[in-house]
Amino acid sequence: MSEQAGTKSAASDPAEGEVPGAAHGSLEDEQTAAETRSLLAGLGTVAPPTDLSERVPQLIERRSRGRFFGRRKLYERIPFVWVSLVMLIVAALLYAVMRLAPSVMSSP
Amino acid sequence: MDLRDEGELIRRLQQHDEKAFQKCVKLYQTKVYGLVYRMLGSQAEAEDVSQEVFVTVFKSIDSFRGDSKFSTWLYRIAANHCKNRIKYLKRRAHKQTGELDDAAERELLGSSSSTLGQQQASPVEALEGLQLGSIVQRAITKLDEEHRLLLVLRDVEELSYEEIMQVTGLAEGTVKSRLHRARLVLKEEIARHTK
Repeated sequence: MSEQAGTKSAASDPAEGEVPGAAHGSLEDEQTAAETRSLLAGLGTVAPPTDLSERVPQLIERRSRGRFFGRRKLYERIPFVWVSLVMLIVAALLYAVMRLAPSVMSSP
Repeated sequence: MDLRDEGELIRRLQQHDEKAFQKCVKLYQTKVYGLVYRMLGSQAEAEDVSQEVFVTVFKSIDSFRGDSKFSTWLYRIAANHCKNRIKYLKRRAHKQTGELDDAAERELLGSSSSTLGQQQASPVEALEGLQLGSIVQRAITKLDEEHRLLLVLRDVEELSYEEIMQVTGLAEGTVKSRLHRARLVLKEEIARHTK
């Protein structure tokens, strides 16, 4: 569909009123359209954030309080860092108890 | 994406399939983000609104009847979110004209210099490209929201009049006349800045 056709029907739009020069679909209108298009085409495409496809499901999960996209597998739900820390503390405590135990037991 | 694939994707979206949803975001994020960024002129706002658009898609996918293309429906949601955000920002007296942040300036620099058809623009040319891109983006954000939307849909996103009518709900004559006015106002704005 040409811009010329567009400007012709524009003149009959009651909300907008008469568009100057539109009724004749003048060369000037075509020129304005072409100029604007080339200017705006020059802006190019903008790249969205790379992690948008991950952020949106997380947002949905958070807002739905885990109702949607919240059914994670068992290994995904375990906080491995904290589990490791707890295991280290338990091991250290056991070691300490075992070291102290003979001296406590042998004392009078 | 052909119609069969699109239909399959929509069916899976309606079943709240997470992988399908991620695919949908990946497929349409450039379109949505592009529209939103040009409408708002701010990277931070564009990121936030784009997320909200896809959340709305997730919430409203059951209401999609397939009367229009999925991308058109998506654009309509994005356009409504943009209008709401513009109103909200206006209420907060947000200084939109001064919002082009560093990342946006870098993006403008990249796109403007690429339009000159140069692989390596000189610093002066790059600066000119940056300034022009910046002026054009600022001129867009000076337009009222309806004019801005039509201009971006037609001249940036290159939608057909039929699609624009579906997105905006306006009659063909109204779309064309408003678009004509928008172009004239944009031209005046740019001329004012470049004088």
